[in-house]
Amino acid sequence: MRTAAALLVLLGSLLGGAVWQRGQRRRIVCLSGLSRALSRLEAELTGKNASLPALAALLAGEEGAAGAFFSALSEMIPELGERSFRQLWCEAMEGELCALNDSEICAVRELGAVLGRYPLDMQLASLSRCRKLLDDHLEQARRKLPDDARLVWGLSAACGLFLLIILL
Amino acid sequence: MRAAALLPGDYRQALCPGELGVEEIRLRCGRAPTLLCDGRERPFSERLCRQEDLLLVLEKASGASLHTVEDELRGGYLSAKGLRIGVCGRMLPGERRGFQSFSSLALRIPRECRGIGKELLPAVRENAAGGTLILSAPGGGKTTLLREMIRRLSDGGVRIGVVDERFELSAAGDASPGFDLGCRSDVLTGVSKAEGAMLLLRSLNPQLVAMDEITRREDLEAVIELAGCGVGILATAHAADPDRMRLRPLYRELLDTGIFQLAVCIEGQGSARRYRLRELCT
Repeated sequence: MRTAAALLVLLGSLLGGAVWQRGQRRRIVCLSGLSRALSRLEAELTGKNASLPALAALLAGEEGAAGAFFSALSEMIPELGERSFRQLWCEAMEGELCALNDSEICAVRELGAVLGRYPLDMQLASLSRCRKLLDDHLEQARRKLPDDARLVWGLSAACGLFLLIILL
Repeated sequence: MRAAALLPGDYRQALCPGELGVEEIRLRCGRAPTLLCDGRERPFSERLCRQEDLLLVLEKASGASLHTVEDELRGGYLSAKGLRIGVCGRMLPGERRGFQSFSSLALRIPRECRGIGKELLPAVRENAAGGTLILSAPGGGKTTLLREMIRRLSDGGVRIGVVDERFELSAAGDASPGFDLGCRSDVLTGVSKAEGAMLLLRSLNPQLVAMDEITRREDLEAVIELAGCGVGILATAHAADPDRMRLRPLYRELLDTGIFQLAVCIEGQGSARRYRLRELCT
């Protein structure tokens, strides 16, 4: 019985490491998809001066969390007038971009407050700023992932073994 | 009322359904929203208007894409769903123009008043090959009268090209015009009067070109160009009468061209409006 419990503790620790790594991978995929979508948004805004509802519908076709985010935003567009675009943007974020960390969420939220409301050059500047931050974080996360993964796996294994020794 | 659809929910509910005679809905930051009827404003809700309310209206009107209407906003208005929304607020400094923040909105509600100015029609029709000006102070009903004149002349057999720069004449929201401008009218929307007049002239062979509010030098030049090509002109201008019109240098120049031989002056407001014909001589 004690052995089984100890093995469960060890397994739990390792599972914690696996969950962390999966979260990081999801974040990387999310950052990458969102950066790609924002880059497309920037290009469409610059070239065609298109409206945001049309662009949201277009970007809803993107893969992963970014596509799901723009799809949710697109579905909320009929509520414009009752709620501001910024509110709809933030609400769509809550459901779909939870893999991002606080500073990334903050940057994307700020972008939503500028889009559609200010002159085009200000919107483009804000888009570019947000995309740059996401790209920097993406690069950093990609670079650090193998080392961090080794560290987290090592720590969780050590922690599990430590508990195992204590329990046995 | 199409304008009501743009208002925040509680304001929309505060409006009586089928409210008659409303010319404008006015929203001012920190003030109660009002309706303009018969030249008088009356509040329709107790809740004071906030900056956020103005932004909600503008977002709804522009589809959350104010950048797509930047040119219009620089001109102090925005067209949406066949309505014209006049904007006021703090403008961006320098050449960039545009608005930094908004303090007031005036949602102008275009109306179709069939049958108005019946008595003017024979004289305007007789002068269809020349130039007729419709004059009144702002909010006097120039556009409404112009719309009715276009419809009647067009149905009466005159081929009319309409340059509707601000979507007010046709109240067009899509490909089909919102108001009936007659069966022989070709409506060109969303283009400057000067550019539109030349486009109509080249491509649609109009007998008469109608345009709202001559205000700029380019408009004057387009009018001269049209008259030179033998096309009649029906237009409006902000002035109580031809004498006051002469106080403005651009209008003085316009009158001195001799293109306009007839003026329709609108006097009074609301249901008490009167139309007076005046012959113009250079």
